[in-house]
Amino acid sequence: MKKTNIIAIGVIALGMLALVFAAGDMSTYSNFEKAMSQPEGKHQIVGYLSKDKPMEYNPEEDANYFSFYMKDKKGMEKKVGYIGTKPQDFERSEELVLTGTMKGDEFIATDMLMKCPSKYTDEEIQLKEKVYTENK
Amino acid sequence: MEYLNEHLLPGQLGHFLVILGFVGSMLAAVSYFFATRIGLRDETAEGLAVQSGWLRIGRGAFTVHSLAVFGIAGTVLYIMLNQYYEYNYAMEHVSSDLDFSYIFSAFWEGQEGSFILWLFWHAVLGMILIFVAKRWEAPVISILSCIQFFILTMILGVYFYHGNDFTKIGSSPFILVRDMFDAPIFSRPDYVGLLKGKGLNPLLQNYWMTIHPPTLFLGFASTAIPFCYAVAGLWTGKHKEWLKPALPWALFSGAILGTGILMGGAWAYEALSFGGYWAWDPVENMSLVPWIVLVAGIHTGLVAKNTGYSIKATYLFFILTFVLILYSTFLTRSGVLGDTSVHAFTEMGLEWQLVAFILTFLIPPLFLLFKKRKEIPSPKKEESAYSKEFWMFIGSLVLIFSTVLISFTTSIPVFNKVGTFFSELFGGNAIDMSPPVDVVAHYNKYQLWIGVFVGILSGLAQFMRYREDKMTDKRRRNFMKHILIALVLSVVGGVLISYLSGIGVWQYVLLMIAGLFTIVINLDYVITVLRGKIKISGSAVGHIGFGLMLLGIIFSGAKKEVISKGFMDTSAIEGFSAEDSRINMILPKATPVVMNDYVVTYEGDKMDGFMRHFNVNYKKYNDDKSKIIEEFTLNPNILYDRMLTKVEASNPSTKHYLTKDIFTYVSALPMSETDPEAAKAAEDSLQYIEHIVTEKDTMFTSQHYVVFEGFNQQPGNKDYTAQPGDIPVAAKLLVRKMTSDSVWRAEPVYLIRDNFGISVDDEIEELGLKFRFNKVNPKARTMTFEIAEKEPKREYIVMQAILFPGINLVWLGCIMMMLGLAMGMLRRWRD
Repeated sequence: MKKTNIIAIGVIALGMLALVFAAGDMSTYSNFEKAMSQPEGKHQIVGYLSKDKPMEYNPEEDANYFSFYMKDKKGMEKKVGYIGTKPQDFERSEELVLTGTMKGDEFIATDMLMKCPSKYTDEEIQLKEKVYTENK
Repeated sequence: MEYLNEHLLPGQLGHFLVILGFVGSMLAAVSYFFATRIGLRDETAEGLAVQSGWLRIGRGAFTVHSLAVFGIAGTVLYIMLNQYYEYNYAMEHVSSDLDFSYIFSAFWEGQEGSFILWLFWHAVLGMILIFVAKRWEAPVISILSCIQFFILTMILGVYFYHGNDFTKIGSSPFILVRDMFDAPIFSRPDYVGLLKGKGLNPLLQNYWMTIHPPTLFLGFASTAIPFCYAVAGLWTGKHKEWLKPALPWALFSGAILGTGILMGGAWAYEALSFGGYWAWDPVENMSLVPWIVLVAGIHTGLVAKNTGYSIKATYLFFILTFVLILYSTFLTRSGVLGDTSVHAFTEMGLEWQLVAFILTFLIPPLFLLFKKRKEIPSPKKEESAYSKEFWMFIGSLVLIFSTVLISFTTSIPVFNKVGTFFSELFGGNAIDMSPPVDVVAHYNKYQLWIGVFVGILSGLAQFMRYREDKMTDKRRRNFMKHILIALVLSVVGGVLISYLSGIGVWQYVLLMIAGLFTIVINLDYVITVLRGKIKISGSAVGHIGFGLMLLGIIFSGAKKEVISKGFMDTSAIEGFSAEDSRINMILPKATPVVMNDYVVTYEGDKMDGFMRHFNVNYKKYNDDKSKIIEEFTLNPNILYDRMLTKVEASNPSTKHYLTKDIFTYVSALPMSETDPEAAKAAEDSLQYIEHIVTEKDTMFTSQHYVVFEGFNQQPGNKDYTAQPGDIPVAAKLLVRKMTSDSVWRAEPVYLIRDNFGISVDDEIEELGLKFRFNKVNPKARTMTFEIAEKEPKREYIVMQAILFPGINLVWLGCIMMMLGLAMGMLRRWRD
């Protein structure tokens, strides 16, 4: 057998090993129920912003705390404390992906990804407002 | 119905050009195909005559195709420049208030436009190939034309109806709004005049958006050329000959694609509030992966050209590079990354078309490679462990290994989609795998080792020679001398630098040693072996760049300090904790706040159009705080929307030093300044208190007294604009604070217009007082005023300040890598 082949196999084997380790880093999307039963672990939860519940951000009290409510995919609603500022256009976001841990009855999120229905994908026709109101 | 004022001609021309380009690419592919085939089978004079006939047709067809592509781009630009909003693409991407200089940005903001940009570069490169490719012209452009054919289908916009359902092939930039939507407005013949454009996303309104996409797409397009050469090599069976002309193209592609990626990083760092140049976001990853595979291909290609080894690997890597570009296109444009990427991409309904595109250019070339594997030459004797080719091959494997790891984690959403598809086919559940919780730490942890290996290998291999079986004693001594000196220098240097700069994590120390090793040994190589001959030192320059980049990454990553937090950041490899995330600080106006070594003051702000600039002053004192040793002001800004109520974008401002950067951006403002509802609520909650007074009377608020001094028949109130027939009168009010002697004045207006009484309020913002002149009672000679006291306005910003040491090393290193590739290209081109 050629030396290159042996080394190539070695590298591939090492690669597989690393992949197995890397795969160990992966997890599955969690939910609030699971996060409550495993409060020590970090969880990634996908859910929907509860637009009817209060959102609070008061930088004068704490510039790194923004709270709101989210319903996870199983329908459980929890208060979320996001460690950070209130993101722009947050009200418009629909789906959220949070990363964090459960603290008591509140989910403390250190990372958040928002899915906004961007204004550039709205399936709507923009009209000149002035003309539009005249014809209403 | 007859519509008025529609401009249908450009659209019809555009459709025609798409069809023309389409037919041109087909004809070019076929003609060049026959030219290649005859060239392979019939080498008689008669055969040559037929071949040159096919070649002429091919050239003509590809030229027509290219002109059509340029025409398509021109037509779309024409529609956008003239703001013909009856076209959906114009309505989606331009608006009447869009700055003219952003027209190109708007052009490639949309998916259709970026496909056209891609087509454009392929056409340009193809035209160049017609002149320079010589014997390879026919097979290479034949394959390139097939690629063009597929990309053109993306902007074809053909619908096949089956019942109520339809299948869409491509999305045309020339589609009319009224063909796209069904809305009552289209019952009006003059609908065109009522439409308005949505404009360009404010986040994209900067010069990066003008230069980054064309560079990146030239990079994408240029990966097709080594791919075409590789497939042409397999097709014609000239397994060695294709390498020589393909290599300069591969090096060109490496330099341009790398520059495009680098610009993306610089954009994220300079103009966006991401707080860094690289975030391991899926979209970033999938542009990096093809580049790394391409670099691996360049290395095996050099080995193949010089020694005849690694030809198969080179075939495979150049094929994969282009296919990975297609895969990256699929990931970013199909919407599959929605849960894992911050870069918003929308679905176009072209997913299956993109998958077909990938498979078409993956499976046949791989099949060809497999079929011809026996006929691809390879030296019988195996590589010696002392030879350069051996270690370069190992290095390429390490690079490939890196891309496997990155692609694996990045592709999780794809695994979910595919897994769910099959799982549900057999009645199972949806697959819902998530990426690692600390995704940045995950990537860093593994890629760090790639850096270590590549650093060491790129140093070692430089002093080796091609086809060296055994080293003579003298040569061995010389080799060991250089390696050992470099090793000692880099270990001592690495440990010392780490110790002095307080880098304690041993993995970083190892990475630094690897980086220093490749820098030292490549410098040594340039000086002692090449004797400073710049023309042939492209590889050394590139590898020194790689080493410098590693050092820059270590400093800016491990020593990055969020100074608006006040403690060390260890998140780069350990992941975020709740404490780590507390990176924002509030800065009340004119109140100095201590951030590490700096005293930071938010001094004020200034509006400029829709842009609000903040002045943030940084001062650094000497040890006994008696003297300012450094002072500068940063101007981060925010961009408001047209109503001045919502923030559209927040742009950072960075102080650059040679050894570090201080990055600052405004992450939040008082709610009343960013949220129209909060502003309105504050206004509504104002409590007006009524005062009925006569001239010279005094009214009291909780902290002020207000003297009604008399009338002014010519009101100077800026909120009041006189109209004919008005009978206005202003009340002169003199306001004093109970605690100070300063005097303020206000002039609320009361007027009679068309027999109605109207009040125009006045305000003293500084005191938070609002005055309303409500009623005049001529009989009793009394006036009625209403005075409201606002909460004193709180002025503050919430901001982040991050210190990036050594970031210039990252830029310098990356630029040197690109320069090294470009130097290599020039050298191979001249050969």
